[in-house]
Amino acid sequence: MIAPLFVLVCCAPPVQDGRLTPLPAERASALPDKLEGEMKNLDPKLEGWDTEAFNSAAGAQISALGKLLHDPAHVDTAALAPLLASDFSCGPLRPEELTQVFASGVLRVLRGTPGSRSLVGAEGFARALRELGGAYEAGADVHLKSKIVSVDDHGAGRLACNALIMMWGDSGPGVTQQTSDWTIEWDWSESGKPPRMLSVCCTRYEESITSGAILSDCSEAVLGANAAWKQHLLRGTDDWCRRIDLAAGMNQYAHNGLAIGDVDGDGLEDLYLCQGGGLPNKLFLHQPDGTARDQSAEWGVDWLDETMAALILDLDNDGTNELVLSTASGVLVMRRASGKPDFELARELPFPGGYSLAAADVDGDTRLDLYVCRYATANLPNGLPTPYHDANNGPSNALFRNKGELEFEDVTAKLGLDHNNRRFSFAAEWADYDDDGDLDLYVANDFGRNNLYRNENGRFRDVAGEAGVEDISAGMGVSFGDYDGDAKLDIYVSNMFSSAGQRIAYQRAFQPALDAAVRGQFQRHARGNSLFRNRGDGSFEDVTLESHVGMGRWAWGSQFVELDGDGRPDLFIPNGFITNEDNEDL
Amino acid sequence: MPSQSPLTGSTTLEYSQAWAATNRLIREGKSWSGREPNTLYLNAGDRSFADISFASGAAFPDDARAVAPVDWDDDGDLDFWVANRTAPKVRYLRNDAGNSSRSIALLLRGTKVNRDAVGSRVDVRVGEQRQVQLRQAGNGYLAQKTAWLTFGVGQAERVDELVVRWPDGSEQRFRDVATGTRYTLVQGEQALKPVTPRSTAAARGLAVSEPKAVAPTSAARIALVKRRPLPEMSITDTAGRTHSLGGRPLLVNFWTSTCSNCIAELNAWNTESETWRKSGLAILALSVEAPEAGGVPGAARTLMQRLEPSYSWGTASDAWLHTFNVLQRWIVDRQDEMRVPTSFLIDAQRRLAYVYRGPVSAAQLATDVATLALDDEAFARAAQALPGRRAHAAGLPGMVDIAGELFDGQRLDEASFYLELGLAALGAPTPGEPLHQRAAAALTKLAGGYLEAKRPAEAVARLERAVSHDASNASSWFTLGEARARLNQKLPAIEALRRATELDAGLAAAWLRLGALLNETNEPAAAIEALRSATRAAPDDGRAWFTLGGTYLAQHAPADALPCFRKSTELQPQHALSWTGLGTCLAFAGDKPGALQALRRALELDPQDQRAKAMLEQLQSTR
Repeated sequence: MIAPLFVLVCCAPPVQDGRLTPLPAERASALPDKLEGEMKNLDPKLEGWDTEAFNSAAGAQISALGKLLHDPAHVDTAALAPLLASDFSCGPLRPEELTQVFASGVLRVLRGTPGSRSLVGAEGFARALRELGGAYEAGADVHLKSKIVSVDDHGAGRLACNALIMMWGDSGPGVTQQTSDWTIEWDWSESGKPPRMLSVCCTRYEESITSGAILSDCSEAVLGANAAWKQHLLRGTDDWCRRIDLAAGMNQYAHNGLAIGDVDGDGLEDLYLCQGGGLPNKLFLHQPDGTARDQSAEWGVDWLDETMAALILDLDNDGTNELVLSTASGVLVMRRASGKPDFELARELPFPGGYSLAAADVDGDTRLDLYVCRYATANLPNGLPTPYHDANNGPSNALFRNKGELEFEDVTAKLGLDHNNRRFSFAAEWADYDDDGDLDLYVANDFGRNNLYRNENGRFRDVAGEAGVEDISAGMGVSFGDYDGDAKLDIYVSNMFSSAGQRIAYQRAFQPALDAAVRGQFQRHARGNSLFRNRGDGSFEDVTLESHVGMGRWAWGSQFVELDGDGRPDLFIPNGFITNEDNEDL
Repeated sequence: MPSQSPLTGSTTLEYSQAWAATNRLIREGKSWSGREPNTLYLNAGDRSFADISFASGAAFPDDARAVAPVDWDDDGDLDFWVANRTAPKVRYLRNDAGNSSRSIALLLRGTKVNRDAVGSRVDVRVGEQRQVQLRQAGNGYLAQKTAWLTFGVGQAERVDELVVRWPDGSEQRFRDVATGTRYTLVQGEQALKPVTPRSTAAARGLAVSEPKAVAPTSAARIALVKRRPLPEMSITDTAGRTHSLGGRPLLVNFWTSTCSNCIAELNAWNTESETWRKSGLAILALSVEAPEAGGVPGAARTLMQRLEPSYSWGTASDAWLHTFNVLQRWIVDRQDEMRVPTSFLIDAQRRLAYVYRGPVSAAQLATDVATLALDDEAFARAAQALPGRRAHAAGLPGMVDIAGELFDGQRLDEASFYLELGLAALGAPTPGEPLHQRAAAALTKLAGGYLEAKRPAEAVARLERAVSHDASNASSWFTLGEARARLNQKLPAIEALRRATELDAGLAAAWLRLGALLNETNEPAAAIEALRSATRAAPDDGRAWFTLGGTYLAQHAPADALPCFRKSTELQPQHALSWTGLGTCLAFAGDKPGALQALRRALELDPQDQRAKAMLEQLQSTR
């Protein structure tokens, strides 16, 4: 629904279409098509959410503003005028006084509150925008990306929205990034014409400035010498979905992860990359010079079965690592072999459709046990998640106890983990959140509440509700870490930040029969990621909003990571759902 | 989609349609929350975070799924491997943010606990600042991070205190540990062992570049790792020969005379006919241009007269075009409507083995035909896009979807063929399972098609299976009753209709049909009861009132019949027989003027109504 204002370079090359011709129109139109009827239940515009139409129109206007800001020192006042209502006014968009809240190495962060000075008309707006662009060096190529997060219809063609405005551009040897929240009032009283801005008010302002590179893409230097780089890894899922048989398991969603671990025991950790059905999983052995060598076939781990997750770990405490894979058809356990290939399949757990894997020695017998999350796959007859905001009708998750000799038994029910256990689970992590000496388990679930299974003398009880971490939303990932240095483990949960969901769920027409509590759950569902601060008494406090970490977009495997060496965990958030060549987003 | 979700209980049609439509739009190339820049939040130390996604270079617009941190270049800070849906399918991001800071890294080794020491926690204190790291195996989403625990310590040269808590609850404490070093920490040992990094300087100086994704192409040779069975089909070519599928390798090609790639391909096959003929292949080229009066498009004929093809050619019927279009949509997860040229290579066992979107050379055809004789396992290996091993053979996906699309085009027998293949994969009917409920619904839908096509026996066969998959589907029982009734199997029909009305008392049509059948089997009391239920379920349906009135009348109860016919004439005033019935009842009631008026109305609507005529004459002859 919202077209991104700037399509960043790379990643979506246009489709080469030259060799095929469409069917003659009269034959094509005779083919039956059911799409129209189904579409009615899908497109918010057709569902009658007026503000969705507004969102497209307003988004286009902000996009037009972004183009005028390419060279912010020379904002064209005349070109601004058509975006603005005649009585336009705004406040300053970059505070005059900025406070440095962080400085380390190549990175500084400044914050400030824009004053209340009033600027009027296109002239005034141009001035505010030039001030905003003062953060960049002269001639910098400045980009803008926005997201409308809520819309209020005041009637009579007056609407207001809150928008996240992100701008970035070169600044000397580094990059400057501005992150702002704007409240924009609009006049949309003239039908058939785009909305015009009545006022713009900046309510939050932050500036990050680097003086050198932080993250650099060296993928090609590490992997480029392997044939698989060009043949396999430089082709995206949209391309493989055009040429690999559906029966092989290849699909658009690409829930395929990765594992780091020392597979060959040389002291360098290697990379195992899971792939969709029909594409081989890849084992890249880490070389001292930083490159990685494809040894997938030689080591016997080039599985073509659709693989979601992998673990590299020592299941039998013999000093060599096993490899565990969750695949569409079961959990594969491989161990080092004496001959060639270097790995052999030792065991398969008949547990199809596994997603994230999390290992821990739950019963203290020194052997690592396996928790397997499950979502829905074509193989599993569980139907659709119902109800959407609180579904518990998915395939069950399981804890497999390691009995030794790479044999496993399902102890899910025995340990009380069968409660609340069919919630379309994407991810799980083990951690002793209550410092009582045993490991507890947090499970992130897609359609509603998450689980926090507290370990109570070896049996588990779901205490997510009482601990305040149910986090009713589209859970995709979980990470434990101590973000505030109080030695207590906090929880960061990845969710779906759906601006369309945010906008729609707050309107009265959305499921009008809902009571306030359930409506709240739907609204919560699209809020984004959550940060829960551990109070130390077994409960958590939701500190997402004050910490400004909710907007992770359509987030998957967020993790606390030590980025800059200051001992305070930062957050890396891989995100984005489906990018196809079509720019119009669902 | 959430706006369609039922709030409790089971899935509604609208909700499942919304899901189906979403999945379909994605298969057809729509984006959904696409081109989202990865987000990186910097911990600013005041319980707040700063967005440095763009400033840091993390904001690749990939469809990123999972991240695994590891100090890949041994420079003391964590680098990142990110798995993507889009190309490049994995990125290595070197991190230089920690270059001016010091750190210490630990690899734990359990001796009394699991060897990997998974489940351990390490606390590090430098001055007042504390930090925690966990040794985990499996974290984030679909990811496993490095086994090393890396602590950034700013400029500190020593860590004041380091405490490891092993998963068995035991603790070890270390004081005054030098930073800037990697250590192994073995459970029970008194000292940390420094580790010399294995990475060379080259690892820290790797070139930076922007990987260039390979542009996708619509044209593709799709080898099916699982060959798809095809229904029996036949078509007649321009020479009057009938072609059916199976028996020998056959290439079915769709083309138009306005498509230059088609013409080039048709031409090449002609000049290189030795190549593909040797392999035992037959080619059937079907034009998809609209046929003209003679049944053949003129431009196509002109082209073929010029080419003098060494293979058969003809015009694609709607049946063939539709069926092959649906098939090519469901062999890969990226669905497009068929374009030309598209060709289908079918083996002697009537199975689809290869689909070529775009032109295919005679040499490639010969190569592919040679693989058709392979057994399933060998063929699957030959059909892999890239080499690898499989733990499980591929199944037959999309069969029920194919059936649904063929059904929508009224290709009942082809739809039935694929539905059966889809159901075969389900196993024995298990009541209450969603998949079996869907199977029952699909069989019922198909049976409805057969019923509409006046093929009730085929309908009954499917419906009897539908109710074995899901005996709680009222619509299946009703359709079964209807189909049996059309086959004149009255008692079994009544039984099915009774089941339908037991499951759904609001099913007026089932009550009505049941009432009518009970009349035919001379059970008037039961018929009246059923028809009363029909009028309760659908008080505005005139047919129910009419049938009920007729039943009363046949039972010589005109007083009971009268209000029924009144209702019936109100609800369907154009229905002649309702007026006849009303007239008859009024005559019995002694309302001669009313009766005459009603009968005259009946005859106006249907002058041939013998009953009304006779009644009218009788009334007029009596004084």
